[in-house]
Amino acid sequence: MSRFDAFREAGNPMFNDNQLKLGIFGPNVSNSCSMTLANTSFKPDFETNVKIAKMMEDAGYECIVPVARWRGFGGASNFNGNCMETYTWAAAMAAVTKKIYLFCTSHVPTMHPIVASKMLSTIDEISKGRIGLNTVTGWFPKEMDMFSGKKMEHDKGYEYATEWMEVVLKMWSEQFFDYKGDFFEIKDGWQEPKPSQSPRPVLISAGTSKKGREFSARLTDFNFGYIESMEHAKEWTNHMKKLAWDEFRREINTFTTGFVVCRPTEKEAKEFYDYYVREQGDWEVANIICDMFGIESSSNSIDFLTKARENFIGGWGGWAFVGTPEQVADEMIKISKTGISGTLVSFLDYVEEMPYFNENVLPLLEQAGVRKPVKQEESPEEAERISTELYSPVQV
Amino acid sequence: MDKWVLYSKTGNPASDIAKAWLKNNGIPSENYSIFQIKREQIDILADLLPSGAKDLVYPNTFSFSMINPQKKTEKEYIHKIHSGELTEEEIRDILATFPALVISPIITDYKTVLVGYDLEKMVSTFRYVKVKDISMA
Amino acid sequence: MDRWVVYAKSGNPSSDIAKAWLKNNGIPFESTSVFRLTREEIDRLANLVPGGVRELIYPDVFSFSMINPQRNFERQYIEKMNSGQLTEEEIRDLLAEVPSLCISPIITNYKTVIVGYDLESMVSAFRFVKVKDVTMA
Repeated sequence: MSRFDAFREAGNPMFNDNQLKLGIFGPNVSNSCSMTLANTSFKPDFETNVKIAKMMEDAGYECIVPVARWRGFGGASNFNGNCMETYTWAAAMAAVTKKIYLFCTSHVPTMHPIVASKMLSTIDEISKGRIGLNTVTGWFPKEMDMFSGKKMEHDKGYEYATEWMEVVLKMWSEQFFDYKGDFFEIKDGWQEPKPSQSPRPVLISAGTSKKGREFSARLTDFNFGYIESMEHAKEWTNHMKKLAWDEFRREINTFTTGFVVCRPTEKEAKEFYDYYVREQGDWEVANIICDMFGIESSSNSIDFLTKARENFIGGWGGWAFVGTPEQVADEMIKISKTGISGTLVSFLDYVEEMPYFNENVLPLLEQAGVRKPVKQEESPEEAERISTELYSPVQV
Repeated sequence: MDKWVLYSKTGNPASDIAKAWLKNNGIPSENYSIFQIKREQIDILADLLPSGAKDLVYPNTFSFSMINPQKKTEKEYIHKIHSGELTEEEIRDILATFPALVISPIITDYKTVLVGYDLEKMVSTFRYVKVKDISMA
Repeated sequence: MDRWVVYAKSGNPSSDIAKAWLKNNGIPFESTSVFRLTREEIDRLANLVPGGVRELIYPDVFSFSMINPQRNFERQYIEKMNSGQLTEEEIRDLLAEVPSLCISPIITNYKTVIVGYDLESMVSAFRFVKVKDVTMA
C-alpha cells in the first residue's frame, strides 16, 4: 500500500474524494492575508477562529493552515504583527473542532525537532488524528534576527530543515535511536506518545526554489505554491510529481492559494476590490514585501509592479478570485483541472464574506463534480440541543 | 516610560495611517483631535522645530483645502503665515485660534516632534521606546 | 437627463464631502473609484478643462502625500509632470497607468467637469440639473 493509500484508508480529509480541496490560510494573524487598512470585523483571536472553523466544518472544507509570524512586516498595518502561535493555536482548535484537518506552521530554526515532534503527537491525541505540519525555513530576516541567529543562507537552511525533519520522523516511528548529522546529534532518542493517525501527520511545505522543491519532494506530501497561469499550474504539478518519483520514488501533490472577493454582480466585486486593495491598501507593506522578494522597480514595467503589489495586498500574492459566484467557481474548476489538489482561500472579513461564498460558490463546485455535497449528519449532542431548545418550556 | 501624544483629524488619510501605525506596531499613544491643541502646546512644539510655528502649518491652500474642504475662513491665513508678514508670536496666536491650520498628524513626546506622516521617521523614532512598565517593586 | 459620475477615493475628505453634498442635495450620481479611470475617460476629461490634463493632477507632492500617505513610489511622477518635462500625451498615458495621481473628487457629466471639491462650482453646476425624467411617452 502506498503512503497516499494509507492516508486515504485512514479517512484523512486531505486525501478525500474531492477533486478540489479547500482550506483557508492565516486566520491566526492580524490582517490574515490582506495588506490593507480597510474596515473589517476580522480579529486574529480565538473566538473568531472558532467561529470561522465551525462555518468551514458545516460547509465541508478540508483544512486550515495558520501563518507563523514572530513580528509584523511594518507599515501602518504592521501586517501580521499580531499572531497566535501555531502549535498552541492548533491544540486549542483541535479541542473544539471535529472534522477539519489542522496544521501547525513551524519555523524549523526556532524550535528543537524533539519538542516539535512531541507537541505534534500531543495535538494528534487531542484532535484524534487531525494535525499536520507545515515546515518553513524562515525567510523574513528581521524575524530570524530576533532568534539571535542570522537568517540561514538559503541552501543551508534547507539542509538544516532536512535533518530537522528526519529527526521528527524518527521520533514518530522509532524507539531508542541515534542520529548524527551536521546540525543535530540525538543519543538514544525516545518518544511517547507516537502520533495515532495513520501513517503519520500530513507534511506540507511551500518551497519554490530548486532546494525548496527538492525538500518538498523528498519529505512532504504537498508542495504549496503560487500559480501564474493555468499552464504554469499544470507544469508545476507535473514537475513536482516527476521530481518526487524520479529522485525519491515517492508520490506528492500540489496545493495553491488565492483570495476571494465574491459578490452578486461583477461590478460590486470589482468595486470592493478597488476599495480594499487600491484605495485602502497598505502600499508601504506591499513595497517592503516586494523588496524582500526582489521585485525591483528598475527592471519591471509600472503595470507589472502595480499588479504585483495589488496581488500581495489582495491576498498574499495568491490567485485573485474576484467576481460573481459563477466567475469564482469557474476559476476554481479550471484550477482543479490542472491536477492541483486544492486551494487555500482568504477573505478580508471571513465572518462577513465566507457565508456568501459557501452558499453560492460551493453548490456550483458540487454541480461541476469537483466537490461532493456535505453529508449533514446530526450528532447526538446536536439533536439533544435542538430538542431541548425547541421543546423546553419557556422560563418566566 | 515615554508618553506619546498624537494630534490628528479624523478623515485625514495621513492622520488615520499614522494612528494605525502606532496601534498596529504596539506603541501606546494618547490621541487628541488637532482642534484640542492649546497655545501652550503650540509653543512647545514650535520651539522644537527649525523654522518655528511655520513648520506646523500647511504649506499651501490647495493641500489645506484637500483635508479641510469646507473651511474657508482659515484659508487666507495660510498665505499670510508663509509670506513672512507675521511675527512668530502672531503666527502662534493664529494657530491657537484656528488649529485647523496645523498639519495633522502631529506625533510628539514634547521632546521630539514628527509633523505629518513619514514612515521612516516613525520607524527610527520608535526604535527604543518602552511601552509597558514591568519594573515596579 | 444628465448622468453624473463622481470619481472618488474613500477616505479622502474632499471626495467624501462632495459625495455627501450630492446625495443630500438630491442629485443622482454614479460613484466610482478614481482607480477605475480609463485612458479614454482621461482624454474626455482633459479635453474639457482649459489647462488640459495637468489640471487633473495634484499640484505638489505635499498635497498628494496628504491624501495618499503611503504611495511613495508615485511621488516622483508628480514632480515630473508638473515640471514640464512630459508632453500632454505622455501625462495622459501615465495617468491611465497610475490613476492615484488624479485629484479626487472629479465630478462630471462629460460635458462639464469639476476637479476637487468646490462648493460654489457645485452649486452653480447643479443649478438647473434635471434629476428625474418625467417626460417619457
